[in-house]
Amino acid sequence: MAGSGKLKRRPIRRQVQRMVLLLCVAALVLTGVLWVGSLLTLRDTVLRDSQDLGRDAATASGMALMDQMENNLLQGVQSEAAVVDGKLARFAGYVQDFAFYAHRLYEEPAAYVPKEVLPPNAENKYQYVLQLALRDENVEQDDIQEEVGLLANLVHMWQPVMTNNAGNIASIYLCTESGFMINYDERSDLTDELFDYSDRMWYVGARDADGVIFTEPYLDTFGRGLIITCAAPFYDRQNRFAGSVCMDLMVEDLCSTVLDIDFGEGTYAFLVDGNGDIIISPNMRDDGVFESLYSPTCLAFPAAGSIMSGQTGVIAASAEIYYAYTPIGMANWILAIHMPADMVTAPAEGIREDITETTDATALAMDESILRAGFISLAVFVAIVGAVILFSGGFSRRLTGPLLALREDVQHISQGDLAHQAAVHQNDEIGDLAVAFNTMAGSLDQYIHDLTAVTAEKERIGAELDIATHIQASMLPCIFPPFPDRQEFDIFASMDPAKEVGGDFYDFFMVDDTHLAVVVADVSGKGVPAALFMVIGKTLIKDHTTPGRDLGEVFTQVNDLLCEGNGEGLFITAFEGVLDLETGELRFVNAGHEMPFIYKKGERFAPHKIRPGFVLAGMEGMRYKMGSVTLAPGDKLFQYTDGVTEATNSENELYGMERLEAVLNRNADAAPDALLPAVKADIDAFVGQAPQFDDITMLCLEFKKMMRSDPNELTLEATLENIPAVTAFVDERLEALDCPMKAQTQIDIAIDELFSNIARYAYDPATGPATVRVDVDNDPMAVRITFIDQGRPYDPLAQTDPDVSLSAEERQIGGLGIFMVKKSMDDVKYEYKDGQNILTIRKNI
Amino acid sequence: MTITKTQDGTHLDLALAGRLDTTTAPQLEAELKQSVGGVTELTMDFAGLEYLSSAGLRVLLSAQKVMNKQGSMVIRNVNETIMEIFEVTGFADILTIE
Repeated sequence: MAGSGKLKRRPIRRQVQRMVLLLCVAALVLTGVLWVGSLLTLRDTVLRDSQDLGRDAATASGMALMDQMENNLLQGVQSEAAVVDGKLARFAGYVQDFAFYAHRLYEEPAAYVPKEVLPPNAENKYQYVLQLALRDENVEQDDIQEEVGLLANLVHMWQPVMTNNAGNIASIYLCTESGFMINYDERSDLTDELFDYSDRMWYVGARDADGVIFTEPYLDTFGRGLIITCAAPFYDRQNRFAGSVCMDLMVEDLCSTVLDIDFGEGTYAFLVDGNGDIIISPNMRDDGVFESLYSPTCLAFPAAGSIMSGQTGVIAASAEIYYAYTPIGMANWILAIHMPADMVTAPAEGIREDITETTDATALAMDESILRAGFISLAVFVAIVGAVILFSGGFSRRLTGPLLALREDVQHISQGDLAHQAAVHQNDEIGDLAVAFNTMAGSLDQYIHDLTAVTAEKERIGAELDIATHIQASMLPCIFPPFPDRQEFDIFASMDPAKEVGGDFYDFFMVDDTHLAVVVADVSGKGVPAALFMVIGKTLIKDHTTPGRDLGEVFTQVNDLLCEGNGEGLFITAFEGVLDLETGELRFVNAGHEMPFIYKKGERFAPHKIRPGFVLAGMEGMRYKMGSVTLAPGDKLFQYTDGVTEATNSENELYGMERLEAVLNRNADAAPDALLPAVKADIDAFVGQAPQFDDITMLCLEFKKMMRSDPNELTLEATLENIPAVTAFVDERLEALDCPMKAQTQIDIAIDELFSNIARYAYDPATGPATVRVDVDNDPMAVRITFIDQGRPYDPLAQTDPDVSLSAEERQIGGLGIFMVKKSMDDVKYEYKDGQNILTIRKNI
Repeated sequence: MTITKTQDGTHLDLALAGRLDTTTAPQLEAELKQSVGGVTELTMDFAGLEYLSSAGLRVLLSAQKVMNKQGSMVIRNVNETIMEIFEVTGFADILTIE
């Protein structure tokens, strides 16, 4: 349960359910995707086929339509050609009849009454009348009179024909070999009397053809538009060629039906003559120049060969244009119909669009079906997923139920009810687990039972060790300052045991009133044996350090005593020093211990190199020698055990002498009770998290001032506050001498002046010690008071005396004190010696 | 040293007892600085004063300078030792001693 706070809880029941659900959904989704994919593929295939079908159908129907259209065109062109042919045949028939009739007039001239024909007369304009014209001026009127009269009878045929075909026939006329011409028309105003027809096509052609001919179209000289002439030869009684009878036909009228042909938008018909010239067309130019099929600019140019072949047919001149053509036999003409291709293909396009619409409708219907199928599938999908959730929920509950029951059982066990047995419900892995838990609970029960006994024993030993630690700690002086009334020295010590009970110890005690002993020692080994040995060693050293005794002797004796009862082979390294507070002499003895550091005021902490003796309790009969060093006020002694220099950090580096010396000198001015914590802090910073292997013991002694040995000498700090102390000290001695009051007062004033001078100026801006000594002379009875300081050299007597006659405003106050001293004392002397200012005053009493 | 102060209008009387030396002179100096404003007649009674040192002389000198400007200063009941000092240092000529 401890992990439940960190990891997100995921019950097995949920995991099983989720996995089943996941598999089921995955299968369904996969199937669904395949199914929908197949449907969509099917749909695409059907649509593509449908579109292909539409295209094929459109193409096929287009071709069918094209065939039909071609047939229609052919039929149309042929029927129109037949109409024109019929018309031409009718007019040819008329002309042929005229020719027969003329021949008959020659055969039986007597049967006809001669008719008079007059020359053209403008008055007869717009009236159909006969008009006579001569071929040339050589023709004699008399020679032709009879023949003119005879042939004029033709008017009996011409008149009805002209009447019946007024729109088609421009004029009817005949020309003879004998040199005259008879016209029948309405433009007598325009007809000349002379007209040479002998080389005209319609005259020569008819003569040469020996039958009916049609001329090429030409523009009518009377301005009636394009005309063709139908001509036939006639013969005299002897069947000799006598002349031609002609009929001018207006082409426009003749072919009006051709121009009216309409097979749809963009279609038109046109007539081509035997030379390939387009003679009739809706797009005719009106200058009488025909466009030729053989001209490359002509639309029908590509189809010219087929059109002029004399056959009937349909041809595509280009992708856009079709031509249907057929010959008109009578006039040697061809009728052609121009038709845009889209006229032919448009219906096919319509069919294609119809089919495309049908295809789109099919696609829409299929999409709807697919969508409907999709909805049904989704419903089935949801139903299946619901069923799976229900089923997998039940299944996973059945799977995890025994696990939950087992968890309840295990909770009972974990809450300490080790007698609780988990119920084994089934023979599977979970059942095995339950059995294993029951076994574990049994083992735990036994183990806890055993452990309880062992722990109780350990606790008892631990408690006793704890007491031992307290006893050991209480054996070391631990109240600081230990001698609060002692001005001469300051001392501080600490011991941090590595284990509950350490082997290090320190000690300090007054040997007598003027001697302070300090001891720092390290017992080999750790724990209770070392602690017990330490007690013995500490007691023996203290007991044997008696006033005036040589420290070498002390250690020699202590060593012998320790060796006697040392069955365990333990030993002690120890340093003992005894400081003479009156002289500053430090006597010491070293039994295999670290060298002490000594600080000389104004210098540095430095290891004091002394040769150590052998360890205590190492060997019986060892001799120890005492050494000594003199300390001045302000000097310090620092002693420690190897736990300091051998403190180890996590990289297995030793703290060492160099680091110790460095930290000591960084804090050289600190008092002992500040120095030791500073060193300890530096060690802690160096060691970091590494464990402490050895006891760390340190002791620092500062020698502050000499203990006064002479009752007539006082050394104290040169401050203004100490003036009363100096005065009191001197007064005490003066009173013992029964000194007169006035002299005492004068001496007190002198002390005030002189000591205040030292306090103010000797060590400025710091302070330092000053000594005042009182001496007595007997002959004469006099008191000498000497002031000594170690400040800067200064002779106050060298000062000139102040002018005491000045007014208040002019007065300078400096120098007045010394002046007063000089005046009130019997003698004042100054000398500078051994770095000391020494000023002595003498007063006789 | 003890200072007993008596003020009557512009008349200030200071009675000193004990020793007027380096230690105590600042005490008198402070007292004067505080009280001498507006005083035209300053009397110092030295009946209880055992002795004085140059520090005391310095205070007396500055007091005399102040009083020279705003009035007068008189010292009474000077003992032999102190009188000797005044004479040796020439203060006897500067101060008004009754």
